[in-house]
Amino acid sequence: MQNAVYKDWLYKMLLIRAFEYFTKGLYTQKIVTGTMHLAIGQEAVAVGSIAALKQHDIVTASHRPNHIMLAKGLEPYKIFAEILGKATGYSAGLSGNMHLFAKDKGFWGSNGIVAANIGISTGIALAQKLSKKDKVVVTYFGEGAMAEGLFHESVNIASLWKLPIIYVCENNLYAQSTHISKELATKDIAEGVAKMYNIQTYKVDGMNIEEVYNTFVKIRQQISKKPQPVFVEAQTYRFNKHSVNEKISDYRTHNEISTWQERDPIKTFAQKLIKEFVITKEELAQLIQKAKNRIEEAFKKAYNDSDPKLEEVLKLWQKSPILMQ
Amino acid sequence: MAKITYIDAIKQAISKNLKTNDKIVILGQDVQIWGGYGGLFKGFYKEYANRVYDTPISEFATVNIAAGLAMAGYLPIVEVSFFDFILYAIDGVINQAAKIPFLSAGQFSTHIVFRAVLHSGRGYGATHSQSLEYMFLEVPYIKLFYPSSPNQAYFLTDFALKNIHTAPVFLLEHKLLHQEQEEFNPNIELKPYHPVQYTQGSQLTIVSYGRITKRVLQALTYFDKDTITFFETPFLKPLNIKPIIESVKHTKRLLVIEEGHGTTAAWLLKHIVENLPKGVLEQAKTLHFPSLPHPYNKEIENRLIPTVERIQQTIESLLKQ
Ligand SMILES: Cc1ncc(C[n+]2csc(CCOP(=O)(O)OP(=O)(O)O)c2C)c(N)n1
Repeated sequence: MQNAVYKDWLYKMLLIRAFEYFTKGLYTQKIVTGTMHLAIGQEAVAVGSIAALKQHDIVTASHRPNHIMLAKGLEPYKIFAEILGKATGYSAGLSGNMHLFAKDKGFWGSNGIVAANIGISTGIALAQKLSKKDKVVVTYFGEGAMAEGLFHESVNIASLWKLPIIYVCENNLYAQSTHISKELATKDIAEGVAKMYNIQTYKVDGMNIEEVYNTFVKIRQQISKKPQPVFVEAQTYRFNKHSVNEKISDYRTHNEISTWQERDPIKTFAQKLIKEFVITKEELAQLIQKAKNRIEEAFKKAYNDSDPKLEEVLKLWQKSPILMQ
Repeated sequence: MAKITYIDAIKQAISKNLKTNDKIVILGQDVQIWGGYGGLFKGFYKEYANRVYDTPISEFATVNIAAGLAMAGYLPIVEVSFFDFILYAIDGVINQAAKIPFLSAGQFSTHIVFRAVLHSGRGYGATHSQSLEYMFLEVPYIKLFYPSSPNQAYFLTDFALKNIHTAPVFLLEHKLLHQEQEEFNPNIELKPYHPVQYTQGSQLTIVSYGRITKRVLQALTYFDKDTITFFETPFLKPLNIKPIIESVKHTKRLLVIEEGHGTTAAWLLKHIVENLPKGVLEQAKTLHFPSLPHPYNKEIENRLIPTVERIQQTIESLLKQ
């Protein structure tokens, strides 16, 4: 692998982290209200997997979508605009980051309803099969979503119909305050899914970007050769609260959090690149600064944009009247 | 011209559209061999093998899959079968399919046709007999069509499949209408989103839809021709209520009748009444199924759905006042 690629991965992860910390600040300073689910700690899953896909592959995400969107190449400026409810946002300020669509970028939606995109993405995959394109659909969700009936209905159908889709479970061990042991009866997600639904499944260390990337390269090639669904469990951890509004956070011990933080996917990867002389410490500091600057500029630009006009929003409503007069 | 049944009329319209629109995909339970409920899709699998999908008994995934297909430019016809079964998939309908056009600010449309069959009056019991259209009345973007005759069924099916919709359309059928026949008129033109007017009278305006239309028409035979104005709303939503409002301005009395639990009638009443000028309305009433699950005993069930007799009595009492 070329050093430039490694640097690119590192920069992308740094950009995501800078975005997430900046966004967190917007909520603590009450510049934005509503809710926000940060993915700090889960960056390697997004960047590693999407780097292995083709540009035209279609990606969807859940209520925790920022790392996926940025890895897929969405512009921080237009995501900020959406978060700020501006007309220039990806969804014209109508949706927020939990329901953000950027069709042209191949990002076909985040979703505020746990597991909903697992079903919708299965349909998008059926469309790819019908139009005989070598396009793969990749949908990201948490392990909590696997307790939903829709997950099971969808994977079952994808297996029966041999649909080109990768179901990526970002197993961060907790659904809100609920530990996986209270959520899923199986002791081994990947094995359980493989047995029940007769599909190939993989388990990857989600804190290790190279492992994620290599696994996805293999999967992507497989699906090109022979369209079929694949399930991946990426073992990871969210370093922050479930959402910016979380009040009671004592369901995880400090010890557990700090043990996982030692495996920080960005820190460990950066250390490795320094050790292997791919980058220097100075270059790392520059990359961190570059990412921060880019995020700040993007925010500043979005902040000064205009809100959507009420008349324009009502025009959308007129497309859907209850009464016609 | 030859006669056609209600269900064959729907089939003809789907068949015509399958030929001209290769984006149409049919999916649902038992559609390939049985042709879905009542054999509606029978034969299509032979002709279009890769456009007709038997789904497992997975209503929730089926609806979400339809949303994904529609986002990618296909036009799914979803076989819901008994309307009651949509309840398993309600998030897919209300939170996903119906919202995606708005949430994506027009980047995606989710034109899906849901084919759902109503069954009140057949002794199928509480979970197989409901009129659930009321659940979707105030869901933005969703459209609801419900034909009462074969020619209407042909027109509305064809209309539901036209590339003019951006979100889900419910095509409601009643099992008890499936074998109704009339001279087939494929050139019938309903005015989109307008009510259909049957009679013109000066004392009472009646609004109804679906299979109750037949009962109202029967009840009307007991009254003088110029007494009652009767509107049917095969386009239930969206609906142009102007003609109805104009009529009530004249008759000052309004009766809305439905086979379900009354929310749809209340909804129609609300929109009509609040658009009337002050002091016009003298009487307004709704007639519907009582607030009970549908009893299994068919005799009893059928006495609770507005009967011809009850419609007639209600009209009489309204005319007296
Ligand atoms: C259908 C539905 N039920 C409940 C919620 C509330 N909720 C939001 S996130 C969440 C936990 C999801 O956990 P998981 O799928 O593991 O994803 P994670 O938050 O860990 O990324 C819950 C219960 C929801 N948004 N949608």
